[in-house]
Amino acid sequence: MNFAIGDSEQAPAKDERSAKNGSFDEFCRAQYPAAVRLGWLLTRSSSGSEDLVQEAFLEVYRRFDSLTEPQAYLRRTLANRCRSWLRREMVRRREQPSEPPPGKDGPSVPDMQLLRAVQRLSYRQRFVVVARYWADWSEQEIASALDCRPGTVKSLSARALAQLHEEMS
Amino acid sequence: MPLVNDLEQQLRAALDADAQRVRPQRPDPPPFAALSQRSRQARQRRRAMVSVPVCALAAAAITLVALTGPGSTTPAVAATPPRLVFDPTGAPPVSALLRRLSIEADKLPRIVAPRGGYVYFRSESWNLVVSVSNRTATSTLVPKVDEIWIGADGPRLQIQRDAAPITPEPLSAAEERNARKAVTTGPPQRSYLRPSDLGVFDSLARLPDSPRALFSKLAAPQGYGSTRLTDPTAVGRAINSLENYLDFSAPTPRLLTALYKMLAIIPGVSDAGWTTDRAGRPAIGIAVPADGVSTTILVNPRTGALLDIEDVQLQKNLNRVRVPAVIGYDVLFKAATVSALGVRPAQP
Repeated sequence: MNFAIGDSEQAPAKDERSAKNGSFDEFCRAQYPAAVRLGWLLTRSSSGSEDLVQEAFLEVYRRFDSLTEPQAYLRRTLANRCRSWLRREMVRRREQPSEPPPGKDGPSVPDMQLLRAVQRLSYRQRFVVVARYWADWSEQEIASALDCRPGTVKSLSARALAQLHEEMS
Repeated sequence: MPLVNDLEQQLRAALDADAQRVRPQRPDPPPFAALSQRSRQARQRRRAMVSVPVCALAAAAITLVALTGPGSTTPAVAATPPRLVFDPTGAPPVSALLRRLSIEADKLPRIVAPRGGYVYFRSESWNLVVSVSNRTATSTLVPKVDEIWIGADGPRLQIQRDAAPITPEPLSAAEERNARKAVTTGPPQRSYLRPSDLGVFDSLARLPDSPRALFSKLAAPQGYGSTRLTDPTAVGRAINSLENYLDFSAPTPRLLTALYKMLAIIPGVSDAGWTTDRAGRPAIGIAVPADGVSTTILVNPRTGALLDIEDVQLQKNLNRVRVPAVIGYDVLFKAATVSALGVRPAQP
């Protein structure tokens, strides 16, 4: 399991080998694109997500030799950084429109409505939705990234789906 | 009305289409390989604040310059604060000092938020922040003042003021003083924090009292990594975690007592001698060598109160400083209780 879900252009693999058996460079190249996309889905800022991901990789690098699961550490670091970034952006965003989409091709109108509803979820609910439905992480992996129990992931997911269901009804 | 299964399918499709719109550039691995082994999570978390406009006084005190001047072949290095001077004359052996400090710290008053009130805590810090872009590492010194109001039930208001100078070294003591004054008058950034926003660093109360257990918790706050006392990287992480906790919480007598006992079991910890901290308070230093960075913890020798934590980089790397150099410090001020958010004590 790694970040590189659905990333056909540069994805080295969905397998586990890349993390500790290769070098940090390989790890970086393997995980970077999907990590940036995860950052985008959580923050809606393409430039911000690149910065956050690079900082997260820097942190992983500093501990790389001592980490038994660098992917898990990267996930958790990125989750925390995105949360902190959003917290600090809240005030600024009240006064400025959100960043426009990075490309012209994008989701359909109904999908955009759904994505806006996802953005209205609390951070933890949004993280669970993105991690589960985009990155296909297990409940255990999501719990580890959010520093909570798997049961909490279940309840966050259920509440998020209920809210989305209500908004899309 | 969409069924839940349909909703899940639509979610997958929408998120996937949205994610595909982002075309990340490939990372530049080489700079990572030469960067400092020392991490400063909390300080890097606050990197977003770097773009805050520098106030007028800071602009007068600090000149922004390019990393290399025209025609220059020598790369400029980031400004760093002057190092503190220590006098080892008459300093007690470190083991006896730490034993005494742990006893005295236990007698410090415990500051608890009253019902409906808050604990106010103020700190000043200067930190070297390294950013990586296009295979180039840039060092920036970020002076910052943090004020935090901590409610009895956890919520916090944090007000930060900061500036982002890059200056050629050396920075004189007068320039440093001017820049510090400038920061205190800088534009405030307000954040309302819930305990969940702070991740594992939300509460000092969760830290164990046992010296060995405390070290393990600080060295591996996320549950990863070595917790060997002889591992310099683990020692570095432990100090780093301590700084992260103190970003959001005032040190308690219980934490300080456990901290001094923990320092006593770390190999290589030494007595740095007598000095005066950045706020002009008499202090004694306890030096903790770790991973290319020496951390000196400055304490009040009489009461055991924690005053200042200074990090000095000893080994050259892409931080672009002239070693040995102070790459960060946190000056901690006495905490006090206040009646409401935003209210400051008369003499913090």
